[in-house]
Amino acid sequence: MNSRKVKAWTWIHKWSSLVCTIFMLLLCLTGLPLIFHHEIGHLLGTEVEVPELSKDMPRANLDKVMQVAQALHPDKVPMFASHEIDDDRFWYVTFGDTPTSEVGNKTVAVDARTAAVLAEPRFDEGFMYIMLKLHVDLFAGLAGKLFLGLMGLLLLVAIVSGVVLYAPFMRKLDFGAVRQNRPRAKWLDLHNLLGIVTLVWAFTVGATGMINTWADLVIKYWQYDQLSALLAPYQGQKPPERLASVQQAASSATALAPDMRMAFIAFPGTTFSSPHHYTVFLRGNEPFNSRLLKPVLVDAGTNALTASPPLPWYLTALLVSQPLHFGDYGGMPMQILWALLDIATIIVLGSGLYLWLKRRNPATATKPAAGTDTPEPRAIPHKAQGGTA
Amino acid sequence: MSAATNSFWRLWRWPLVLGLLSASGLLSALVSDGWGDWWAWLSLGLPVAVMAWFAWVPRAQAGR
Repeated sequence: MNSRKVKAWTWIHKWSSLVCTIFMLLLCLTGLPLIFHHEIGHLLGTEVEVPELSKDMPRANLDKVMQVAQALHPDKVPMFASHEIDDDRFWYVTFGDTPTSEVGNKTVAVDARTAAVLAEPRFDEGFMYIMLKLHVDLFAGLAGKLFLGLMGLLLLVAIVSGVVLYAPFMRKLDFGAVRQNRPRAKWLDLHNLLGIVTLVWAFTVGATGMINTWADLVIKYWQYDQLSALLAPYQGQKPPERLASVQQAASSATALAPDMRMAFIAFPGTTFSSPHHYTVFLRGNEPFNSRLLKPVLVDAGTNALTASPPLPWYLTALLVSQPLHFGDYGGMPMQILWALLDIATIIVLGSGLYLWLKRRNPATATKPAAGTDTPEPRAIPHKAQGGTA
Repeated sequence: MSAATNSFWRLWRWPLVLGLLSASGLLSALVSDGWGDWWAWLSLGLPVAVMAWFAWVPRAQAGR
């Protein structure tokens, strides 16, 4: 690589990083508590505490569960009934003013065995809610998500250009060398070391985070792409006045795939269903396919099984990208590693910012040469002479 | 081995090893809950340990 190329990559690295750094710092900081949201929820007392009952306790009728939950919110409509991925002992039942409303939704946690109300968790207040909103959409809805997705893309550009620049900067140094004589050299070396070691993790979490920002759009596209064909026979029909049994719908869905279990049920009119259907989403029991979902559409007026369209590739990609972003698929040790790698990334971001600030203020740098256009005066000339990589 | 390949390996050997380890750990926990989780803890823990080692253990003169 010649010095012109190094300059070009340096420019790409500098600007892609500078634009996204402040947002990435925000994402890393807010992401840190989110890694442990269950544990923090237990501490704050906001987690649903489920009574220990015998394992072979039969499941309560879902119509009863819905009736109990609805009684708390008689003026709202049901949107979803869902299980946590690792806990099917209770249902979260979500209500809204309309099936697609995003504000003012209410959630009731109902015991899946006794149909007793366990809690009325508030997902729209408190510390973790603020962390989540800052992390997901900056309180700006879809626009905020897409903006953060764009920042994620810039992070990926910064990571790739950083890897390209690793070679000219490290040519004279051993792996892991951290020069202690000058603070700027020390932070440059740390930036390079932590950057190159966290590379695969940071790229994975960045890329999957970016994919997650497209979730709303992907689900809308799925409705258009797959559900519209299934809805052709319903053309001109009104959605059912009275909903048929949810339990019936759930039973016929699970009968279709006895080796799977229920993940959630989307009620008619929600973004995950059609105006005419309950859509029951089943998940597998194996580690990998427990992350994938099988949608089963059941007519909400007649309880007739309509279809079970296979999951398209873009939803598979979205679902697989979620654990890879959350780090919730390898127990507590993996959560801790996720946090440590997140902290390492914060140091990479912070040191990058420091190196740029030091370059902008040559007066405070130890060497006058720091004011030239190349970020590391010692490395680049060397590279330019010997470089054919 | 030519000088160019030699210097390539000197530069990229450890980043490649740690990168491949990380990737295998990210994937193994996804497909298996037993050995897959253990491998993930090991293969993601090692890069973290390497960072901590070089960042905190002081060296007299690291440059060549």
